[in-house]
Amino acid sequence: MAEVFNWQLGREMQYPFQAERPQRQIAWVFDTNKCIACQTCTVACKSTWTSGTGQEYMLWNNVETKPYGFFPQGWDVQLLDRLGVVQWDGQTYEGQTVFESAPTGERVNGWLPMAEDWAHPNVGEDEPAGAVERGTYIDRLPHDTWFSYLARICNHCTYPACVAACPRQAIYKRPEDGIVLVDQARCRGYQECVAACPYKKVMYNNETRVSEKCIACFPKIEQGYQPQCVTTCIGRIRIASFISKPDEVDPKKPIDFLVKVRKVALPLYPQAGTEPNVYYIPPIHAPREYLHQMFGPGVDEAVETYQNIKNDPELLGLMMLFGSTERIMHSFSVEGEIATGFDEQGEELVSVPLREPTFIREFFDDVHQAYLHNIT
Amino acid sequence: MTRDAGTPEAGTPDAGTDRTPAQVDRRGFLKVAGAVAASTAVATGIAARVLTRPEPATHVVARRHEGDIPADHQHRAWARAQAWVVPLLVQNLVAPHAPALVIPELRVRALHNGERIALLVEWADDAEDAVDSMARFRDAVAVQLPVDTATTPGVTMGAVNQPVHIMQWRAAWQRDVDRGRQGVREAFPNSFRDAAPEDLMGEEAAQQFYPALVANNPMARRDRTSPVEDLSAVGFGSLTAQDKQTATGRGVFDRGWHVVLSTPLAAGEHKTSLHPGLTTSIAFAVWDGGAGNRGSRKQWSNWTDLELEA
Ligand code: SF4
Ligand code: SF4
Repeated sequence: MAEVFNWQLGREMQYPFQAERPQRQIAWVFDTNKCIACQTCTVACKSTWTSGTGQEYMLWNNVETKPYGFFPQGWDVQLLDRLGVVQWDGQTYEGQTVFESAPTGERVNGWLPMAEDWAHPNVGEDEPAGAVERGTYIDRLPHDTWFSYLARICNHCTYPACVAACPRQAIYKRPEDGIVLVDQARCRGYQECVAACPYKKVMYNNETRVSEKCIACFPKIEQGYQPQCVTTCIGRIRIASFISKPDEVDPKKPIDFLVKVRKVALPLYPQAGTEPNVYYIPPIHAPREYLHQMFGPGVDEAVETYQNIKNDPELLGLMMLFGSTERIMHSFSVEGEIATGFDEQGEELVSVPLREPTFIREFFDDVHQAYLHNIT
Repeated sequence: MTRDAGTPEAGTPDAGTDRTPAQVDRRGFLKVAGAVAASTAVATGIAARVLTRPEPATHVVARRHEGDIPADHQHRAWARAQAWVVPLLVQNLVAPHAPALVIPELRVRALHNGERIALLVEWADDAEDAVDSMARFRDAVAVQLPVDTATTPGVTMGAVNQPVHIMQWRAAWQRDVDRGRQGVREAFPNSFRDAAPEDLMGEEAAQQFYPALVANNPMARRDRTSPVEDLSAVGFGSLTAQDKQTATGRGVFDRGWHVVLSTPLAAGEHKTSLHPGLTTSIAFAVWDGGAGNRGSRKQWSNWTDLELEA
């Protein structure tokens, strides 16, 4: 075991290897508040990468309804159960990670889902956390009765549990962009990675008998494009770009701005200890206790910042840039009512207004002698 | 698995059948103790035992056989070969460990005909695990030989500059050979699926839908002709398939596995070269798929001597 620094836990932690951070790290921000669970991302991923025999059940990208949806069955319940009650002292995690709590003879505190656990990819869809009474009217935040959508991909973790678990180093993290890949030539199908990943984002191919996982659409990223699940997103909830190292921050970089400056986007179950690189803007209508459990101690600040967005032109501008270009946006700026995204060379990729222009039609159409509804 | 489910032994000169795993001929550990720093404590404990309780040397003798060596384990030629019981230990030197010793011993016989050597490896197991799919693992056995027959490399699947030649048989590969390539259809016979890519566009164009196949991973082979794979290793985690595959074999399940593994005496580059009259070392590993055994979660043996009758 080596000592490594996990900034999301605010402390050093034990990891089986002396892992060096990659030269740069691809990262994502998902705004859960805007997701409509249309599964366009899921289908985009599926039809791009996993339409072969043996990959039938594989959803490298999935969108589940919280609290009762999960793929595979109960993955998060299992994780929480294994790690016990979350203990934070301010921004420092006091409990144990999946590495630190590994039993003797194991590298990671994991579990292997059974085939049946992968059989219901959209179980719990749109099921609210409580009964909806007749006449229920929800007029406050957080909602008394709620559900929310959680879009999930591999987190291309800084300290991947899948890498730690493989006894033959068949999984590696690319130094150039931090993408985590299963070497399709070297894997011998032990499924140790499947058991180890706390997010259950490595999956076994029943036909080729080796494990596979989300590849972050690396052929696109290498060409300066965002992955399929990002560019196809109907709700424009996603952005993929590079995040700076923990001790660096560049407010012009979209991910740095969201994660480190405004601190509006948070890691999912950071207590697992893998330092995941997908960051979520928490669903503001879900109960706070639930959000604390999911996203750690930054939840209150994140929700408050997000709710104040109309007074925060920079944050508003960046949120408007989500889903506005297929290219990777390396930096952005907001001037007046216009937000602009730039590529790596500083060339403009796209500009968007902070507020979409609206036109309000007359309630009554004289020409057609008809009443009209206004739609967006 | 159960321990006593029948392996054939009537009428065979089975020296040492009553030995328990604790009474292993562990002198080989002393030979390799220097190479395995991590097992120093184990080796020291064993040294004391050897001093107080010397045991007769036991080893595998490959009898000379005229003609082709039978792949059928019930062939009478095998009854003429002496069976040695190889006690097994649970692999708990490197994580992940096997949680329990589920296969305590193997029974090994060997024959050679001047061209090839074959080993009949048998063990009791009450369930046949031959399907490779999600969270399901297959039974398997492996034989390990030093590439340099004059040395005894680390039991840790060799070490740097001490390569070993490993031959692994897997029950799932046996099914591939016996019934044709097994895949998702066989693992989930009641599942529904669209037409397979190869049905729509032919084998070659369909390859792109099988990433491990494109990467030439032997796990994904669709044209397997041997259930045994030739591999090499220079320590834990380094196992790599050999470029030239020469091992063959056959495994049959009958209240346990009866597996014949066969290799040419002159097997070629990066493999072990044997010849009549030679004595070298041999070690074994076995997996019970039903117990979740795979990879390093296995039972393994210490080195034993292997002698080829002149
Ligand atoms: S999310 Fe899982 S599969 Fe992806 S890098 Fe992290 S541990 Fe590995
Ligand atoms: S495409 Fe976007 S909005 Fe639709 S389910 Fe996926 S993340 Fe949610």
